[in-house]
Amino acid sequence: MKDKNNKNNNKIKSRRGTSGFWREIAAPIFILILIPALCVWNGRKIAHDTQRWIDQIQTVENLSRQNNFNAAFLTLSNSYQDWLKARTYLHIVCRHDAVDNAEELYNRCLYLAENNNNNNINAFLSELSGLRGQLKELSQTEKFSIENIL
Amino acid sequence: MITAFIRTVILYFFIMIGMRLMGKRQIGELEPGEFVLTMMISDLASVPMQDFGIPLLSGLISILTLLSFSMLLSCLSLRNIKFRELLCGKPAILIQNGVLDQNAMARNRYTLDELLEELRGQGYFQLRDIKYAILENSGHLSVMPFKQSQPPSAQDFNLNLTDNQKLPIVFINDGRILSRDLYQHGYDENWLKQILSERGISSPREVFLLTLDSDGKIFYIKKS
Repeated sequence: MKDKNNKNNNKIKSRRGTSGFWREIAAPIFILILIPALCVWNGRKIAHDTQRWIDQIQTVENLSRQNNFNAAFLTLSNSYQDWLKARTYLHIVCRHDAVDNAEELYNRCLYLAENNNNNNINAFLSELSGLRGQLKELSQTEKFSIENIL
Repeated sequence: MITAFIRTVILYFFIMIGMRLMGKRQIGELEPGEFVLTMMISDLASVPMQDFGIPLLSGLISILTLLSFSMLLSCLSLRNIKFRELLCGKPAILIQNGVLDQNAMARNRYTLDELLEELRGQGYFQLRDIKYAILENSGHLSVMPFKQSQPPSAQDFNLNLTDNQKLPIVFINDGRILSRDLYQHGYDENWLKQILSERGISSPREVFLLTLDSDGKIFYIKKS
């Protein structure tokens, strides 16, 4: 009878010990799952946003090639406004110099678009290409890839 | 400049909270994993502190990840002895029953010079006085001398002493009255003021330390 009681007591202690163990590791496990999940989500969000801006820049380029500079400037302005909404978030999660470079390119493209004519269209297209490249770099840096890890 | 200040404050408190959660360890007693953690955290914190181009969040995420891993591994090593041995290693017995284990020394890359130095540091100048010497995971050497080399204790003289020792109670710490300890032990501030006035002290602020030991004796140090 005593042995049975001892065995039952040990089982209860062991159950309490097990539940205590899971309680202790719950917080670190939660954090170790949450952090990569948020990082992957962040990578996808930035990839989605940068792709949108890249598509807008492509539209600007196409309009410029058609000599429709007013529409190109308008589209670029709208794209820049869209970018401004995300700028603070980008500064929180990305390298500041990468974000600042993209902003600088946006400003240069806006200037060229505003003062554009057929004479400096090559310079404008070149800046647009640079801006696309910078946005791609922003996206690549936050992407979950073996290149970034290594 | 203000950015440096604010980032430093944020990182400092973040790491302080994390290290508090890690538990109490002196630097000299850190397990290898804990030592690595401390070094890495200090490096990870200094980078966003100085380079404003790096988002603060990336530094915080790295530190939080390290702390979480460390807590998880600590919990697992608490639970499983084999895992603990894998993570922290096993203490090595270098001297057993007065016999030096040269293989154990070679396995731990512990030279004779280091052993003698550690023993001298603990006050043992003769190897033959040592019964056990254990090299701990932290690198500290624990030593147990032979009985004849140990300082004698009351038991050796067959003295039957009653052990009614208690920890001294601190009532004043750097001029501040510790009211909770005072009331917990059945005293109050009037009693304390009376004690101080008997010793020519007009205010608790003049006292650096005041304790009461188990014999009821007051010990105090005035502020200089």
